[in-house]
Amino acid sequence: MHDEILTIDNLSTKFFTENGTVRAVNDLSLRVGRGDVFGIVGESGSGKSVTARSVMDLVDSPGRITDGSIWYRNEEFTDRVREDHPNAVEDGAVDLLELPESTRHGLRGSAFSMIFQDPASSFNASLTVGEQIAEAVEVQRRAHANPRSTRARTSGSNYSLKNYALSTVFPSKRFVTRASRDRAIELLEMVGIPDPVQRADEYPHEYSGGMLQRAMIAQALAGEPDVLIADEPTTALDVTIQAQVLDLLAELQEETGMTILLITHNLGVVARMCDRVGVMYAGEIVERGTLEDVFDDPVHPYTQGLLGSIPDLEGREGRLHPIAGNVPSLFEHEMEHRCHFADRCPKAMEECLEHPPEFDARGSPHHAARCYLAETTYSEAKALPEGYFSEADDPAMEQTETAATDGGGE
Amino acid sequence: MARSRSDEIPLVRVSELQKYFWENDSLLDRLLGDEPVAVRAVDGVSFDIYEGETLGLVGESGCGKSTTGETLLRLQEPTGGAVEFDGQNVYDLEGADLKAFRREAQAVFQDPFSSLDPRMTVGRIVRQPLDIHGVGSKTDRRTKVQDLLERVGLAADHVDRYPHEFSGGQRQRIGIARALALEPEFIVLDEPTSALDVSVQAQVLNLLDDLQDEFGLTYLLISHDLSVIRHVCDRVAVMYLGEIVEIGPSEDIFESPRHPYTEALLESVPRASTEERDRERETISGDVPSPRDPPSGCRFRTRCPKIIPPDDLEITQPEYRAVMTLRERIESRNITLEAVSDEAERSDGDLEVDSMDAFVQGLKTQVLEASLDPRHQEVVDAAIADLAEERWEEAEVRLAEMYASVCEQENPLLTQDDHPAACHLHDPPVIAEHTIENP
Repeated sequence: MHDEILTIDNLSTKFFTENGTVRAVNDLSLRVGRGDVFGIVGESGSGKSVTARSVMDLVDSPGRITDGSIWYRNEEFTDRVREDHPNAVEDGAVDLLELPESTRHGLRGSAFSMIFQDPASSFNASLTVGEQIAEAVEVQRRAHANPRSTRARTSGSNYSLKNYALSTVFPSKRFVTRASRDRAIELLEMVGIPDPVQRADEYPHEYSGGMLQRAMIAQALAGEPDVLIADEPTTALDVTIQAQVLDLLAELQEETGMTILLITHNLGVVARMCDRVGVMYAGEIVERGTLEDVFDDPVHPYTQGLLGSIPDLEGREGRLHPIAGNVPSLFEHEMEHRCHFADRCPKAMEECLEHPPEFDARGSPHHAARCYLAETTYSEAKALPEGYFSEADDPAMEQTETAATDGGGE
Repeated sequence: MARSRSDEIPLVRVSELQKYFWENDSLLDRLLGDEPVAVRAVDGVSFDIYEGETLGLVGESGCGKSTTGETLLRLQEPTGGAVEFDGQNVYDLEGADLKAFRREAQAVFQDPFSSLDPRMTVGRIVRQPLDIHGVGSKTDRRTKVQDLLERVGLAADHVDRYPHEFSGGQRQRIGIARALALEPEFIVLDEPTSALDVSVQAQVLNLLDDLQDEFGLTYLLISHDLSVIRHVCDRVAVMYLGEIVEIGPSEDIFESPRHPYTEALLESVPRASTEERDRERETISGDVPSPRDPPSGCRFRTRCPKIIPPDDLEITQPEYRAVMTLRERIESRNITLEAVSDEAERSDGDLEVDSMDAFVQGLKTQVLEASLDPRHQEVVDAAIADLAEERWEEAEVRLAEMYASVCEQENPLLTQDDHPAACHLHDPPVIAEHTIENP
């Protein structure tokens, strides 16, 4: 049986800004099987990073998860929390959103780990790489020694002069021990850093971008996580280095059997890495399914548009087929209750003025799309008249109007 | 578009262009007696751009492609070489001639967020080139600006808005309108779509294509994205570490690349199709070396999957690659011996021979990426034994005698045909024989 390590149900994450409420993620559901590589793909502003951060509980103020549940399935963890938080457990899985913050934070590193887009800004420039990885190891080691303690032990401690002075006197105040340092070197070797003993003592600026991304992966693996969330892990890298890092991730996945949630805007990376794909648009998953479902038999016009707008490396075909317009505004007061893609959609129909639910689509049982076209076929008779949305805009929504005119030159 | 253009006169002719940046070059450094260090961003590149075509310049970050673009527009002064525009050397121009050149050659930059002044209205941004060059009357300019905005797909009444009111794709359109204002012949497009989402990128690429047809523009497109290059360009030049390694018609470069670097680049790009997962590909190892101290000979040799072993040597490519990587690390003294010797001592206390063996084995597992044939094993073991006694030079010489490659001795020149590549694999046979005779 295919068990699901992570199930997100109806997740909504909103940002309460001065200018209004932003619906970054809205009513999002997805299921990630154990050992899968699940890709979330979408353009900037589609909510893919916020989804990942919601899982990690890294959504910054003024953002907040307002609704939904995130089920994490791990027997050991379930047994541990059953006693203290019986109402969070259901059917062998734990709803993370029902847990207190401290318990959730204890999951970071051991259950979920995250790697970020820009390795150069994700490391502390004034500590050696080895020390930073060893610290991650040490945190996990101490937490493991006392599983009842849910404190991750990174909070509170900092690299102040006072703590430095204390650490030289009391070994117990040190962030890293000999054992954790050795483990850090092992991890560096595992991610393919040559001469890890020496490189562990170097500072982040002495690493190249690709090497630093490897080091970040090493750090993320310190707690042997069940799920690795990779947020645009190769976007800042050159193609030859990107290929190396993708190979490394695939190798590590095979070795450790961990689950990877891969977030990217690059459809090529998705095609290389993923078993299943979710396409995000305006805070929703508009289409999901196996890689074959989504790439070879897409139902949603947005998915089709995305695939059609990438220039092909294999041959030079006439013109590209861009999607007109831009990603819409996500301000709650500006979002109508309709399909959010309708204003850019070449096949918008009258039905689309009603927000579509998720329909099952042809292909594998996992294939689903938030589009009426999954059920009905497009008919010109029901098509919305051209310019329907630009006329419907009232003057107060000038911002969205300018966005909609982008692409007028096509 | 694989027509021969050797009889045509190019619009832009770049010959041996060179741009070095100097580090440690301040007054203080000079007083302290520090030697200035050259960063060889562009190191002798030559290419022609013909009227009406699009030449693509592709390469990884730091290979000098943007510097080439800026230097040939004379936004930077070159360290050497010449650029001829319409038959005149750009770096000799002065006064009115230089101003005329500035009208004919324009640029669109990568980041539409930082290349537009946030305090100017869109109208003023696009009008500024017209103001500077004193084109037409005030009302003429205003109409011209409105025409331009409409031409690039914005509305004429956007003139009074500010850049922050526009999305990334729209801002890039503003940048394009500004570049078009003076009706140039030639535009350098420096990564025009890399800050944009794919769907918007497609809009901008189509727009650039239309404008080229309409105004007969000539483009130099600088990009790291090979699929964009393939889609847009007639001819392509591939850069690596400040040098052009291959140049030719787009079809040839993509269908039958001749330089191992171009091959590796093309292999590395993940395709957006379901067959991608099963595609066998050969990735190249390592990072781009620093342009402060580029490798001798062919600059790609440190990562090349097809490095040429000496003619009389029997060795497989993975073995040779491993040996060459080891040589590099020895030559740069980039191996820590302490950790290994600690271990060797701990595990084997008394016998010196044993601890030496342990050392050699220990270090070898650390620094050698492939297992070797016994013949090569012997040489490498001997070299590592030299390291145990910190005789770095001896190890260096021992390996160099046996394994020196033509790739590290001579920098290959671009071949003289319609698809030039700078690689010893494509050397005319005469030169190859010559190197054998003089080992």
